[in-house]
Amino acid sequence: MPVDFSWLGTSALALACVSAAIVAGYLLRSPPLTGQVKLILGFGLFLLPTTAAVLGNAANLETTKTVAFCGSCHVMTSYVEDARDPASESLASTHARLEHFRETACYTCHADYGMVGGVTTKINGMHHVVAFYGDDWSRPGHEPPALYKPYDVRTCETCHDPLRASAPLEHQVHAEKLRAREITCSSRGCHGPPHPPWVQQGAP
Amino acid sequence: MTRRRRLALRAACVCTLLALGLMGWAILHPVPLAVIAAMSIGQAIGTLGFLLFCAVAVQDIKPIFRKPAPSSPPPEAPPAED
Repeated sequence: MPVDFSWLGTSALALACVSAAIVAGYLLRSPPLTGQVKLILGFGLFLLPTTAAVLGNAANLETTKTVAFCGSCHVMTSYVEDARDPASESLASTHARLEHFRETACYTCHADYGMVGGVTTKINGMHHVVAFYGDDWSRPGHEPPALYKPYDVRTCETCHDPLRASAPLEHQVHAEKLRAREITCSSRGCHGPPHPPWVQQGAP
Repeated sequence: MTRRRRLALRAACVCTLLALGLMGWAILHPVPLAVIAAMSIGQAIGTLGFLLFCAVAVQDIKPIFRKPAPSSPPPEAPPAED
């Protein structure tokens, strides 16, 4: 997976290196604990690693939002390939090609809606990771990756209001059903399915 | 500083180095296993190192804030001889 160094990751690494140098220097040389040594150890064992951990966690959380990270599990390869295929006309691909969230397309659409959406998304993501490392994916009849709950159309509505003043006639005709969430963007015959069927069944 | 505190300080150093190593691995090689290891095992080891350091620091500065023991009254001066 290509590494894209953000300022968060670079700063965390730099602080971690300085801290590691201080701590390793103490371990190797074992100098007498004078006031100056205690002060330097305070930097090496407290201030620098704590700051590095905060920045490093933030960098790691940002990394988990990238398409490359999602695609690093091989069961997601076909999804990522479709999303990056310039010839694909799938809903996922047309969105993933947009400049605005090209690098974080999976997360942008699949993150849970709401204030704690980021947290619940990470918890559900952990289920995926456990399943990825714990299940036998080559077993006959093993189900491909699936959503844990129906897709929340409010994520689409963050950018697209289906019942805006200039909404197309098809939307106006189905206004009641759209309001009642009986039909959504990815319903059959509307804009879906979001991923091509061959992608959801595994690579052809 | 006692031998026990010295050992605790060295353990804190080792824990910190391990935690920083895990964090660096996750940043340089961001695959799910590395990121999860850094943010769970790495955090736990790093926190342990931090707590050990705090324990040593507290033990080290404790005598500064300790109340001085009440001193015994000065011995009476022998009566002056004429």
